[in-house]
Amino acid sequence: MTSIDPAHWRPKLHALQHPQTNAALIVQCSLDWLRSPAEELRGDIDQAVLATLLSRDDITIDRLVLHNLPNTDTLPPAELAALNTAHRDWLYRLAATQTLLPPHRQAHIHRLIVERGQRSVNLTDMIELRAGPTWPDTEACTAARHTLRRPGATTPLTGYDVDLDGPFGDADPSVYL
Amino acid sequence: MSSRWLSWSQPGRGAVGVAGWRRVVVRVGRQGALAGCAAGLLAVAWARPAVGQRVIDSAQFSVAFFATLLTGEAVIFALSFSASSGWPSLREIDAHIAFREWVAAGWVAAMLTAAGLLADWPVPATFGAMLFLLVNVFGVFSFVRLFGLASSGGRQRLLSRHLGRALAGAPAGQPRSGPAVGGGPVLAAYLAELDQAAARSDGNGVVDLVEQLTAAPVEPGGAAAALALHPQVIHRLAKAALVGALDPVVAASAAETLAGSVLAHADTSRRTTHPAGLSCGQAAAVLGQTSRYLAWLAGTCLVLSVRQVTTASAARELVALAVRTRARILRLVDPDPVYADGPHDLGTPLATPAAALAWVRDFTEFHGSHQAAALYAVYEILTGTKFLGNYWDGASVLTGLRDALYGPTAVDTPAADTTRAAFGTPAEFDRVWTLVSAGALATLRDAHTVHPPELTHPEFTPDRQLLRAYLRTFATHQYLTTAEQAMTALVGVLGHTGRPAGLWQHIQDTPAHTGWAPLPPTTEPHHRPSACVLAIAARLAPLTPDGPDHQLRAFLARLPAPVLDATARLATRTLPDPQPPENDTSPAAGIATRLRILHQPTPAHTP
Repeated sequence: MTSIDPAHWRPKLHALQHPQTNAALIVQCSLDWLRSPAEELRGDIDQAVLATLLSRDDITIDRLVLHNLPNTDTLPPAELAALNTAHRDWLYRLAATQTLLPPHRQAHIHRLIVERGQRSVNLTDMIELRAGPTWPDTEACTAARHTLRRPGATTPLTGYDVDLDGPFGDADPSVYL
Repeated sequence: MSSRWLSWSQPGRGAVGVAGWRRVVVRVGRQGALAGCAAGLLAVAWARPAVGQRVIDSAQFSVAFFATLLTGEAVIFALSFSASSGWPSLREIDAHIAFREWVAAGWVAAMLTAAGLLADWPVPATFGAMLFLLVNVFGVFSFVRLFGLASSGGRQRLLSRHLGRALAGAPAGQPRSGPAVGGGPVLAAYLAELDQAAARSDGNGVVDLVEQLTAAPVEPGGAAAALALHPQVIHRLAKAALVGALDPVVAASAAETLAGSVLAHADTSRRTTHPAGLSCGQAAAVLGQTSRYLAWLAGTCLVLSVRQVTTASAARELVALAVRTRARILRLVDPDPVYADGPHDLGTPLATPAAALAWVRDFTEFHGSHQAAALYAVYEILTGTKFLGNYWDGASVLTGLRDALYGPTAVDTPAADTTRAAFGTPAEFDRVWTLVSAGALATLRDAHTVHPPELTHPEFTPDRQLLRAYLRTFATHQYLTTAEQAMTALVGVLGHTGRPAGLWQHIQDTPAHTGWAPLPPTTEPHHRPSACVLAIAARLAPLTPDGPDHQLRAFLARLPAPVLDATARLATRTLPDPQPPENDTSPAAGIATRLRILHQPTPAHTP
């Protein structure tokens, strides 16, 4: 089971496309995002963000995701491996799609650094949209924005590590001999 | 030798398996019979102890015969086996001929006889002398068994059985890459013997070892491990022929025997009653990875031949092997192949959409031969009907498939219904085929490599018309008409994982059914961004000389420079230079002009 409620997220994703929306802040730092039940919604969020950025250049989108998983020593090894795989794949896909957009259109994807031994992050998953000059005055939004401003709390996700050419063996198959 | 894709989990102490238990039962039974007979003799000795001189006379004859047998066994050993040989190991020979039981029983008999005579105990002395008689009977049994091993056929049968037992006890585990050869000491000894035979160019030894593997009895549960060993052996042979001293004709012949064995294993998925039958997913994985490996092997032979790393004869033999075997695989997969020999040739081991698509994904990578023809078989599996167009003349199998599933004249067959349910939506159909084509485009051969004439085969040739036909199989799947749609599709291909437990996930999971890490390693399409761009661009490219390309150029113009540069590098490598050369040297122009190969004039000849 997951604590993520699609009914809360989907209307906000729809509103992301509204012309009056000029900024969005999306926090997805729960481990539930890496589990199967949330996979479809997670994909839809990614697609909605990219669709918005492809069609508009007057919106700023900040995303906060995990840089590394919190202390998960209570999880069975198989589940931990699955979470790590899902996390690695998700971040790769986020980075790869960043490369398809010019820099001024890219989302600002911040990876939250979880310290060693930390069992959870003190952030609430949310999607908050800004239509005017100020953000809604909610506790979750304030905490997320505070985290983004805190030096050393996050590290940006870029497409720098994405090998656009693919593996070297594609060009020279003999390397696998 | 690389062992990255042999990856059985080590069987645990308790994982003896059926074959192992059978072996234990045979051995314990033999020892039990020996002990039972000894107990009977003890009873006789107890009831009728003999006097001293009779015991001495009997023991003298027995010892003489015992020594004769021992000498005979030593001679056969010296002539037939090497003490350093691990295949067969002395341990295995001993298990077969019961040498240790025989010697141990003789030792007991000698001790009892000697002690009885020395201490004047008639019962032990009599029992020892009688036991010596039994030992000699047992020795004849051992001698006969050993003599059987001295012949080539006998040794082959023993080693084949031995290998089959080891494979049954080596369950396939999760794929992993690692330096250690899994499967225990028996399989390691087998591979070591193979390497040694290949290194000293011992063709007969290689053929014997291959026959042992293909003739190994496949126990229930041992099929996966047996199949994991086949490609490992094929790869070692190919490598030994390419960069070693092994005769390429021997290597190719042996590899073809192994490939035939793989195909026979895969074919068992059609027969649910087969005790070691593969599942549909396993058959797809095995056939797909074998196809992919052979395509890679042919491409590697070309590269190494051009670089003069390998001899022309080695490259030629292995390329011919790859093309020939891939044609056999296609024939096996095709539900209704041309020139079917009978009802056994009809039907396919890949009965599900996921299996067929996983196979064709592998089959089309590394510029594999017959890849356009493979789409006909996939069409028939997915729709239950035949595609009647000719790809060489420009007919699009994928467009036909899309129409057959989702068009106004969609076919109404059980297979088509299953396929529609598997894809879910036409959009997913388009996405899956785009992903498949990304792998195919990324691994096309370098168009600028000079193709040596001796490596040319009808489906392994630098001919632009064939490359064009291969490209058009994917490019004619033109579900995109605008640059904006193309951009959205590209984002979907790179950024979306697909439905949870959806068709693409099943396709991705299929290679894991084999239990070994494939060689070359599998790369997911989203890890080939430039190929994804080219796969989308090809679907926007004009298919006729007068077709507009402004949407293609608009799509390319929207891409950031690093992505465009990477795509241009891929296009430059895999697609021939445009004729006449383009004045515009920008990456976007380079991609667009190279894609003009899609509408080169069709030759008058139509095969």
